[in-house]
Amino acid sequence: MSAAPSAAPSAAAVEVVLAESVVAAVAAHTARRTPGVLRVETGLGGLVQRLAVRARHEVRADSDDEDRPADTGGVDVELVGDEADVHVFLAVQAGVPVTACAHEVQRRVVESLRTDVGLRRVRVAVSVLDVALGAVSADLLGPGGRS
Amino acid sequence: MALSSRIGAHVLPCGRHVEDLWDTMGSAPDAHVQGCPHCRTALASLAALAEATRAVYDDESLTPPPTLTSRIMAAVRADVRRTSRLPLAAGEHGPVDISEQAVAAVLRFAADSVDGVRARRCRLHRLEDGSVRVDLSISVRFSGGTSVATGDVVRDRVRAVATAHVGLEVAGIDVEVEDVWDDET
Repeated sequence: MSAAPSAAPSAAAVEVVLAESVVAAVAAHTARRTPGVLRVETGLGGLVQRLAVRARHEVRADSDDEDRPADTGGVDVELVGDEADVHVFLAVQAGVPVTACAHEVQRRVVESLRTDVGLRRVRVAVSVLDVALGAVSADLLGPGGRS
Repeated sequence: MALSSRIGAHVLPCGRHVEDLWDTMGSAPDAHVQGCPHCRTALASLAALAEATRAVYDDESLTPPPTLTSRIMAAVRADVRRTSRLPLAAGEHGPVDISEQAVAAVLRFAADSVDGVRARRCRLHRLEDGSVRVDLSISVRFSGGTSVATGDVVRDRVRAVATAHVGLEVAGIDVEVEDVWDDET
């Protein structure tokens, strides 16, 4: 994480200014890597945001991928001081226990926001918007449907 | 934006396709769309998208990514799915819920997995104590077995998936056999 600019050089009162988009990007990144999570569901807001980012990069041909803003779609953040309320919208794979997977996402997001971003109090709500019923859905049932 | 194919169509809970709504934007909505909350939510999302992306695409030097249509449709469907959600067990760090439409799809899939059964509608009703009642309608293959026994198998299967897989507290499951079919036909 290099996104948080540090302010005062003295150790007395170091104030770090965090943008909500930084918190959202870390949360989305963490959620996406939790086992059982298929994708973070951006909805149109997130999609439009990503398209706008992409368009800006195509216009500014000189820019490289290094400074591409992080992907924050599918995560709502309300940040007050060093306390954050985070809402993650997910699609999960069929076959994973949905509630347990959501709890794992909450644990990991809280952990990464505390250690990587330095937030003191984090609440994470999870909404599962889709369960992917595809090739793996046989896992859902198991013998006698009691997997 | 031309949509030449129905492959990968995104279906709303009411059965309409997001793609069809996109095609009819700009003309007057039909009677179904006017009365349907899912269609109206999807239409509002599409209108917002059209507005928001106009500036981007007025610049002809920009090429939209090839997967754009599919991503738009998935995003619209995700927006629709946000509207009605059922609570699951909260974690240590906050609440958890799941889209009603996602649960219905999973439970229909569970019912479909029973031999000789095709799932039709699945509706969920949230009770005051936080548990859920499931209304499921099915059609069954006409065979020696009684539909009562089939209904019991479906009910067990659906309950197992709703409880163990999703983590819902299920107060009851009503299975209605709407129709039978014959292998001969």
